[in-house]
Amino acid sequence: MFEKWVADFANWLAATDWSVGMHESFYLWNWLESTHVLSLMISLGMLAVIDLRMLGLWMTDVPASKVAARMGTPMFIGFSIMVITGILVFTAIPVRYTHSIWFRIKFILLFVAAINAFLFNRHMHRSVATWDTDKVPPRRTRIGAGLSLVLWVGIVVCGRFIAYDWYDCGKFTNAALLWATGCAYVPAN
Amino acid sequence: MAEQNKTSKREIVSAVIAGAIVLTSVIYWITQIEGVMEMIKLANGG
Amino acid sequence: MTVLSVFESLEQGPIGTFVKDRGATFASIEAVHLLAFALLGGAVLASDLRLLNVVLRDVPSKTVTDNAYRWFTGALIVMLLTGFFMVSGIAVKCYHNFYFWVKMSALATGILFAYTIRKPLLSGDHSKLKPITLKLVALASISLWFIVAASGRWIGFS
Repeated sequence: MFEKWVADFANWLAATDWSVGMHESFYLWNWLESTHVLSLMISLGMLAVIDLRMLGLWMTDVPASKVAARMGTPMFIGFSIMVITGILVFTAIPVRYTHSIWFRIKFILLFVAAINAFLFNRHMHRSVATWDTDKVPPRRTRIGAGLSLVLWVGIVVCGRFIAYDWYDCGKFTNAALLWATGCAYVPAN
Repeated sequence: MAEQNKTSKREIVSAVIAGAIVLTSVIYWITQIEGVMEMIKLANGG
Repeated sequence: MTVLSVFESLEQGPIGTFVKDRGATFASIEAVHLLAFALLGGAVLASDLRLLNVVLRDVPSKTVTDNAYRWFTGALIVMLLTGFFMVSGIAVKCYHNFYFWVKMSALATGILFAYTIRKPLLSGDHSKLKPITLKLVALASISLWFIVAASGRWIGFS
């Protein structure tokens, strides 16, 4: 079953020297986590500019495709940093993270955001010539951009809430939540 | 001529203040990194 | 009336009590602070990286900086409001925290610099300014806001 596979993986990772080292490090984890959060400025900052252009709210005098192309590069650099630091941060406390309801929702939202981004890019390549210089792009473009912003707001909020232990395994008895978090697979410790 | 001088003065002041800020930032980061390295050395019995 | 007493009354007052009442309140305010931070970062980086000739090089720099100001100001207001609420909840801890004061100094400098030096300078014709001036101003801006962000994060770790 999926939950068992996830739990096995997390437990295996938690026992490695690497994970223990990260978990007990004096500064390393703090620096990695701070880098992860600070690179929000780059990745999401650039994404916000692009999405707001696509909503007709920022730099409407500049062709939409140009904003997307020029801001896209720093955005991807920022995203790369976020993914790498995110993975490294995860390796420090894999068991807690995999059972965190916020972490799970965050992952689902990331997945949906990726699909949305793919569809939006495809739509853009096919049609941008017709609305590139419009101050306010057509409805379908705006929906894609708006959805992108909403999803990323959700991702950031969930990411922040991971740190809080309100719904950690052992702190609640709600059956639906127990199922959603896979807490049944955590040995009592 | 006076208009040019006025713009020039604002530009110089801006550049000087900006330069001071950048310098202060560099010094700040150097002290921070030095502090971290010192702590790590101590933590490892150095 | 000392600075410490001001912080103490802030934490014990209605705002501090409200923020401390439930854990979710502080966390939610913090989440909004974080989102505004992303927007501020976008405005600062779009603007300053353009001045440094790194992004959007084929767009007039004045177009980029003029457009960014509205969003910068909006994001800054949200951050100041949420920041004020958060500090109220943990005011005394902040008072005793070195990085809190680093952040406040950088923040004050950042706001002053943005509105009294950078904005007036960039409101004119950019081509009349020396490139080195534009680059120094952009670097100063990025440095300040980065220190605000980094020291802000480090408050949580110290």
